[in-house]
Amino acid sequence: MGETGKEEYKIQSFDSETQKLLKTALKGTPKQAGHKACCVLTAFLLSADPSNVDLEKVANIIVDQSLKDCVFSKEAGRICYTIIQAESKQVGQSVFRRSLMNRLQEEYKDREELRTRSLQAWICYVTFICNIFDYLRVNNMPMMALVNPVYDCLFRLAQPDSLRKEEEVDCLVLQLHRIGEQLEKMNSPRMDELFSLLRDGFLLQEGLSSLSQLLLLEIIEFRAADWKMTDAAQKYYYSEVTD
Amino acid sequence: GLSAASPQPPPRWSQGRKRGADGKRRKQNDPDSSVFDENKYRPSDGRLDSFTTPEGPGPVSRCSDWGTAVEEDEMRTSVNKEIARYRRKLLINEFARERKSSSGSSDSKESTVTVELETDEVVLMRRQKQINYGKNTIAYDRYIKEVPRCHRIPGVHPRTPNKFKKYSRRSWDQQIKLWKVALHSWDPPTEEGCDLQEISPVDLGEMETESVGSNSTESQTSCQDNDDTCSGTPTKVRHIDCQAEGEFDLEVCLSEPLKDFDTVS
Repeated sequence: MGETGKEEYKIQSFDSETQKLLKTALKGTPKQAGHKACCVLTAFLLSADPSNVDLEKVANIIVDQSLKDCVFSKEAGRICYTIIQAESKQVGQSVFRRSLMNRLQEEYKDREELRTRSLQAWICYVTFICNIFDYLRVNNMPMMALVNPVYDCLFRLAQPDSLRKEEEVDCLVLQLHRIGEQLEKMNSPRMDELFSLLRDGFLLQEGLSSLSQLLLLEIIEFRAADWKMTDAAQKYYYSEVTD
Repeated sequence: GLSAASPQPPPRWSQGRKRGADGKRRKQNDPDSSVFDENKYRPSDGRLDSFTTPEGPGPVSRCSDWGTAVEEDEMRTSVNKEIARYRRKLLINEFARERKSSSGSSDSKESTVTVELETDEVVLMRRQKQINYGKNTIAYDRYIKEVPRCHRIPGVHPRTPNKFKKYSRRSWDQQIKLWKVALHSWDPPTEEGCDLQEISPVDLGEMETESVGSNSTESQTSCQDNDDTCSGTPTKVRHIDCQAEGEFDLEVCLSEPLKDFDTVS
């Protein structure tokens, strides 16, 4: 499945209202990430029977793309949300969501291998699954099924070998900023455990870069302030240093 | 809440219980283990394959398949919303009836004692699945299209069994059977092997509005809040009926100025 020259593609089985929704979702994606993902989607959809989009394949394309492109994996949640709403409204099914979840689960099972194979892909995966957790709701509640798997991923990032890598620490704190509060509501003891590890890591871990130390300290303070940014923290961590 | 153990050996149907009488979760290999068991594989890290969280709404099915777990989650939360809604409706009806009878003479009006509802989550989910099987048929779609709920004649038109009422298992299963048989009157005209009768049952979009309110006293109010039956084509048949509504030109959309997509939290 190679890239095609044209960026035009058709989703004929969705009505115009849904197309508008999808359009908006894709537009909102940073152009660079959106472009690549859409090219991939295009190539697939052009080769498929236009009257019948295989949503399972679409789910796989999105997951594949998320593992390659970190920018896209940050946005994919929104796109998935849109497709799920559309499918539910249009045909009252959840083929896409089911395929997405199962694919997510497959990758989760092999996450250690994934990390060994490609650190970048692993980071993309964590970003993706956290993004999905953030966006996809079940009757306005977060997805229960993802709570422990997400925690597992974050715990992995808090291991010594991961703490030694700046990109992984960066990923960890970013996800905690975005979904930490929700995650804690779903399972508070595990969050306590996680932060125990982070404190230990901050204090005892050898080979921690100063940036990593800074990131860890900031997130520890952030949670202590009930997942809010205090003025003092804002000033310390995020303001320009004036000399 | 979940049903407590009875003194006799539990009948087959109650083996959906997730906990024994002592409140402890049943183990996976328990001979009485859950009807929801769909374990095809154990996770290699040996963790329990359930996602119960202390603050969560309760035990989650033991299936280790995220797709199914999410669907069951959805069904459970929908059912819980519905029961809350149903209770409110009963309360409102009760209140309205009491007001009427207090102003007029008190003859032999129906007792307005609060009836006991079926609240066992396992039972409700099972019943909901059975209802979903019946509703995910072309016959049902044709039926609700042809006869909006406000035009239904009790005794003539099939009515979805009310899962919140207390019935014995046999009684319930019988109601479901009769209901589905009655729905067959709306089967599409038979061509060669019309095999699309039963599609896989995941139409949860309709649940909220349709499955509650099969009580005759509620048929008035429920019609108003149910868009599906009183107007428009049911969602499931729409994709068969409608043709492509024009193409989606990505090139155009990518070249348009970006707008915010802010409908999600």
